[in-house]
Amino acid sequence: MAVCLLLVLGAVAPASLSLSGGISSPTLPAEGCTCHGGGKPGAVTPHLDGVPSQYEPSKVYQLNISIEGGPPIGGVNAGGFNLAATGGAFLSLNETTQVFPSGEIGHTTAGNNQRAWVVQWTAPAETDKVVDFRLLTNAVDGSASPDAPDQWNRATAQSMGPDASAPTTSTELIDGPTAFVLLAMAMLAIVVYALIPKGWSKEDFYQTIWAYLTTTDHKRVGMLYIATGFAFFFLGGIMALLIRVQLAFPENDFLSPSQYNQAFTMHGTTMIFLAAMPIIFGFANFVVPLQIGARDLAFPRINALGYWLLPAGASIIYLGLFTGGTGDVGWTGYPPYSESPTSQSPGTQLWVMGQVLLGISSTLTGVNFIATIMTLRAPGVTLLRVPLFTWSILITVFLLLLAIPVLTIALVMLLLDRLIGTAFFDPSKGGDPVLWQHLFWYFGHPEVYIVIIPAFGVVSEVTATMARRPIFGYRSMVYALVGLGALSYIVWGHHMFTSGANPLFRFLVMFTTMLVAVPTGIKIFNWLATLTGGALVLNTALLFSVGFIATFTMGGISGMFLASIPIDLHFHDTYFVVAHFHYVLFGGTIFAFLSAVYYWYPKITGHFLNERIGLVHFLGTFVGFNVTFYPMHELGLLGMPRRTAFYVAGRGLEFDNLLATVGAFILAVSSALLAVNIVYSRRNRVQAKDDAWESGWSLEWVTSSPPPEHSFLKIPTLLVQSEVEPLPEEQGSPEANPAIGSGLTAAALPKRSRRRTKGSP
Amino acid sequence: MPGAGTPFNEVFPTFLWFSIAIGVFVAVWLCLNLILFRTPKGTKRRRPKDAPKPGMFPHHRGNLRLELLWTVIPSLIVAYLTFATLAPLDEVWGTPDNPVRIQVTGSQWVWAFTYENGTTSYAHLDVRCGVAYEARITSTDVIHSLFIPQYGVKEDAVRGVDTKLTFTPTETGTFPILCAEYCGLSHAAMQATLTVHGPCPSG
Amino acid sequence: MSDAAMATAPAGGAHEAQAGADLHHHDEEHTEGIYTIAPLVVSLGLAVAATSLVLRSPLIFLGMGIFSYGAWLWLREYLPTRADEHPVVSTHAPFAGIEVRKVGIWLFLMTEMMVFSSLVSTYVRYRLEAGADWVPAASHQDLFLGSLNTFILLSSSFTLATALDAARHGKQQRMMYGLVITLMCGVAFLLIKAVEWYEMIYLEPEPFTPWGSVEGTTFYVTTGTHGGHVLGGVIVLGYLIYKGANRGWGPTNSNSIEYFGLYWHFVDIIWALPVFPFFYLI
Repeated sequence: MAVCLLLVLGAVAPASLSLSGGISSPTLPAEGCTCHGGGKPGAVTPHLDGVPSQYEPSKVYQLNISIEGGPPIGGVNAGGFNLAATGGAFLSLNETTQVFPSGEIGHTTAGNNQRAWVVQWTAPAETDKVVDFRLLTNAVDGSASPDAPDQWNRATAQSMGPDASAPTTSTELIDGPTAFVLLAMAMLAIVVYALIPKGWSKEDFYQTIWAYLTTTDHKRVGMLYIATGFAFFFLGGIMALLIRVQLAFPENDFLSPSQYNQAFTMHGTTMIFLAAMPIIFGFANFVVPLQIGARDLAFPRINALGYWLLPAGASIIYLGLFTGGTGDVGWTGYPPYSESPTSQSPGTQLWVMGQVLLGISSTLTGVNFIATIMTLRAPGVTLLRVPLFTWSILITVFLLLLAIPVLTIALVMLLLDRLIGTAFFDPSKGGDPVLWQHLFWYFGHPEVYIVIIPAFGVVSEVTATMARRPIFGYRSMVYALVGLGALSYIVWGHHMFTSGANPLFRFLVMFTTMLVAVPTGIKIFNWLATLTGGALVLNTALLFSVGFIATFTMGGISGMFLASIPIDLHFHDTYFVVAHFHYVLFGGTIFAFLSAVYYWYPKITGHFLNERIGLVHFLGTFVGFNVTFYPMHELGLLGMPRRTAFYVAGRGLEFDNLLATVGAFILAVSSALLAVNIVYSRRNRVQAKDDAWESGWSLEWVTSSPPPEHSFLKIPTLLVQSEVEPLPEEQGSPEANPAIGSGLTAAALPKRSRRRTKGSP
Repeated sequence: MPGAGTPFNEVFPTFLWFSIAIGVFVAVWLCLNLILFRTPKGTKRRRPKDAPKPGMFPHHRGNLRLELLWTVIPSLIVAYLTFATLAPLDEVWGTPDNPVRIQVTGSQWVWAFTYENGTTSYAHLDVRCGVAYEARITSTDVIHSLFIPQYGVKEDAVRGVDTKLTFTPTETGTFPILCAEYCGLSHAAMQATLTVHGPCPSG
Repeated sequence: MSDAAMATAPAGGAHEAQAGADLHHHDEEHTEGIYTIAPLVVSLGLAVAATSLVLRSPLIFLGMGIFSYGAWLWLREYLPTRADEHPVVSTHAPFAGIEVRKVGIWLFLMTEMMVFSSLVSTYVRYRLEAGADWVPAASHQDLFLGSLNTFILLSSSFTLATALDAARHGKQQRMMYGLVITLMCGVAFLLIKAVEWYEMIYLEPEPFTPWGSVEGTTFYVTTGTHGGHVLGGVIVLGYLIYKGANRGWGPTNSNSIEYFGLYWHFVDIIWALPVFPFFYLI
């Protein structure tokens, strides 16, 4: 009962009102109130008698509330109710009922032992109101035991004033697009604000805004992507903190279950589609054309379109906030729940539609990058002389090209099921919910490789540059990337080990998943070998890449556990999986791209980020990250399921959860240091040369920092170091060195061209 | 943590030991790299012979034998781990002789257990120690997942699909049954209690 | 060769495409960057339209209007660049000598391949499971209209190829005939499809609807997606005809017809197999 009261009181909180004007607070379930856990909805019949179909203004009515059915009354606490109305006022007639500050009326402790109550309602003074009543009732058997099956139900009634007209439907259609415009403008403001330098006049401001709104230049579009990505990383992080606060203590009520479900859904969707992918493609946009010696991408306007579809799709997804609730179906959106009337509506439809737009954006980006990398390379840049970051982007966009359309179609199918009742995933019409899982994960597994393979590319660049030596085993690294990309398409079933799918399918997929360890291991050992024998500079960029090696290896290892079916049957959908994917997504992708930020920042802006702040940023992030996510492995062992709005006390879950929350706050504070660093380093500039780190080899280090408007003053030609400055052991045969003999030799060049192109005037 | 004798526990320790070994190997190599090969600020930065320069594809660097080594050894480890999984997998998917059947139905948001004699209990399951049980699982609405952490078993409840899981209790006590597939508002509350009654057969 | 690295030439610029490395080439002329508000407007239009579709709001027309305006801005800025006459050609293997836009179209077609694969594999999955219990769409209609559509579509690919050949040889009138007949075929295809659907939904004793059964769902959504692609092609074809009537398509600028042809033939092949055989013949 106390929990029920708490939920009712939670309805008082102003944040819980939805814009549609509805009276039901999100803290109370749609079907009614279960106060003891478990139980059957809809098993009792509630009655609300005495509500006039047409009220007389200011007249007093007596309402009788009763519950028919329910378990035999065995002890105290037989039943309870909560009655709310959108107009008029309630009055309690005796000590069995009470009126809450929110205006709703319910039972008291004294009134807990019965299943019928009488209350008074005074009609509104206005003549044209339509008053909606919502009654929630609950019946118990009196044992107050957590296992006692509650039986509850809800009832509604309506009373219209003498001059009232028929009510309109609750979802205000005009709210949506208007709110959308406001939201889109707010998002744009965030993006723009991130880019404003100090000491600007109003004219500068508008001119630069317009330049960014109309740009198609890969460098500017890249910066838009990166800024937008980090803005959403911030938003997704806020949601993560909300989740962690809710889970810091058992049976917490900081967030209602409905709010919690929306929070983790939006956290996942935001982080993957609105943070990680934009940051990745932002760097790809800026760096790849420079690395291959092109002035821009193959289709610059389409590149800009790909960017602008991002705030468009994001706005649609977030619009749910203004329509009663965002999608609450998890980032994976499994039907039948994602088609069920019990999921958020229209928030879920908006969530689906926004992703369709994001899918179009990704598809266009994929086409653009493959066309660019395949056709616009500068002289000397053969495919096997392309830097590893560009290679990683090439593999990634192939994955993107082939995987995203499958998601888009699956989303359209889901949308059609929701909007017009098609039968794709609806079991009542012959559809198969598991089909969604196949389609989604056929996309979903390549998707997670889409976000990690570029990270591999970054780490290859940073470790080699900071070790001041070539990467160890360039060709194997390329083959490993290709192998991983190909493998990623035949492992999707490992997300479905408990789904009831064909056992042969599950077995084959276990085998292919285990294989992933081999090319991944090659890459990890090659990075370690790159560092061995180098002249390492332990700057922040390298530290984040080194941190990546540590945490990503850990994530890969936990992935191996999950590949084994008997182990996965315990760990599937528990916090062990949450630990695994945060180790590879945060400890992997995010660490690598923080490394990328520090690494390419001097090229993008012309000055370095501060190293001391960077060191604290790294240490705080590394410590905070591990304190947050390491305990989740144990939570998985203990059997704590994912996506649960609360956990029960007394099962040993308290300490790890609290620790994870503490870690999350350490992480949050450390992440803020990046913003501090950006502002500080702008004011205390340390200029960067063309070759900012003094040991880069790829063509972005040939042009100025920052590059001129057309990226290169003159398109460079990539030479081969073993031909220009051969090492003693390289003199002679091409067999000893595969690079010899397949490119331009120094002797063929006129003397002028051999000088390194300087770049800026 | 699943109890002793479960398929999970037959193979988990193997994976754990290999993980620790590989993790320690990587960690040690990484730390040695950082300690032995860093160039502290202030000292004259030695420039390796094959240091890259901008605009030039770098020298070849690699060691085919070493790379083969760290391709073959992980492949062998992976093969071994797969092999080690096969026996417990057989146990997980095998059908015991003459199991006692329980029909499990998930609905938003309660588990219903129907015994062979036709009675149904909500949110509570009574079983006997030492007896093999087969749970036939289905759902009336959205996807749920029957999860008994004590035995490390889990299988989804999907409307229109027949799924099952098997378990044999080996000790008495009460254990939680959870829902492990997000199913909406009260997913966290969709729990049940498993009570195992003795006596447990010896041996 | 340095031109190959530039994305497009601006209005009025004259550049020659050069393939192969030319190390003694002097520095390129300073070209203007491309600035256009069109991508933003197009995205805004799509967002408003998509939101309105989901919320069933009449503002969908506003969204479509904004989208169309954005598309018009785009074309107005892009078309004068006469990309046809200054093709950007790839310098390196594996696509050496092939124009970048052609590579782009092929990549786009790869994504469309995945779109139709998802739809058809969904159909195959459901049909194989149902086995004999499956009631095929073909049983709800006579094959005449479907076969007629197949013939029309195949013919339209032929007429389009004729138009391209005519353009390459400078035969304007034959080219225009080819394009117009192709357009008429496309429109006819869509009209016949509309008649088919009308018959199945309204004239059957037991209506065969998208929401009534898995058979209906898979049939309408797959053939509908294909029809949507035909409609898109028809719209682009309308523009090609308009331009053909004004500026003409000749040997120097007929690449656009070729690339549209790639798309159109792809849509045709998708119909000829697998859509028509799977949904009409078996």
